[in-house]
Amino acid sequence: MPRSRLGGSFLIFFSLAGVACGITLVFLGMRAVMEIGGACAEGATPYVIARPCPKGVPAAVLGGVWGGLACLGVYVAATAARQVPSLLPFAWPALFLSLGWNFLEFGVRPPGGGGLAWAWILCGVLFVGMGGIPLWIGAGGAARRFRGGGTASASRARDPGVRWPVHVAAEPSAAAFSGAPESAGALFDEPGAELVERLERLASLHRAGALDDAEYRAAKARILGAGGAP
Amino acid sequence: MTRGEARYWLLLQLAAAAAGVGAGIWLFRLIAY
Repeated sequence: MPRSRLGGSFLIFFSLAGVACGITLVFLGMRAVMEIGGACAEGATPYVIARPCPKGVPAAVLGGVWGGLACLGVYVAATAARQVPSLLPFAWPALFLSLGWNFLEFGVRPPGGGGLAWAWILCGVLFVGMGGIPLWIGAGGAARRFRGGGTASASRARDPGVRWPVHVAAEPSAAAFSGAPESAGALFDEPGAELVERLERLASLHRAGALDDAEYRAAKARILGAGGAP
Repeated sequence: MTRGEARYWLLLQLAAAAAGVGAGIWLFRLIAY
């Protein structure tokens, strides 16, 4: 595995793990507060605190929120820079569905007993809708990108509603087409690459200005002449 | 991106999400109990 890919893998792994860790901390912290009635207070205040927060819960929730957001930023940047399919569309649903579950569970069985807690049930329905509707809309597009078999731009063409950054710098350099036959050959003979993918990469270089019209036509003819055979 | 690469990233990220949930449970027990 190339060293850059290994580094990217570590970065994506730990940043996404941080996001999941943050959501889990918020989820568990919310449950701990709901166990004692749904509200608590902590810290220096001129008022008498009627219900102190459970030990460590404020730190867990605050750490989960801000740590999770920081990790989310790193994760988004890391996946976008490497054009890696991302689980980002699932982050919002994961947060709201998990918190909605808490509302519904404690709404149906309030910790103090005594029937249904309708306010919590209402919040639960709202949260489940806020998480479930985006999941329903976005899950198909996100899952398609993990199927592979095409380029990012091909995925975008199939799913025009999803923006997907294309970094021309990540494409092969123009040197691969001019005066460096070994590199050009490596591009054309790349094992497993498909004809459409090669043509798209070529077209993106042409659009970026790395190839002029004559070079583009020559390279395209070479790809088509090879019949796409690896 | 080939199918093999896509599968690699999917498995990596699913493993990361699972590890993150596990770490969150462990961390919460560490600081909140």
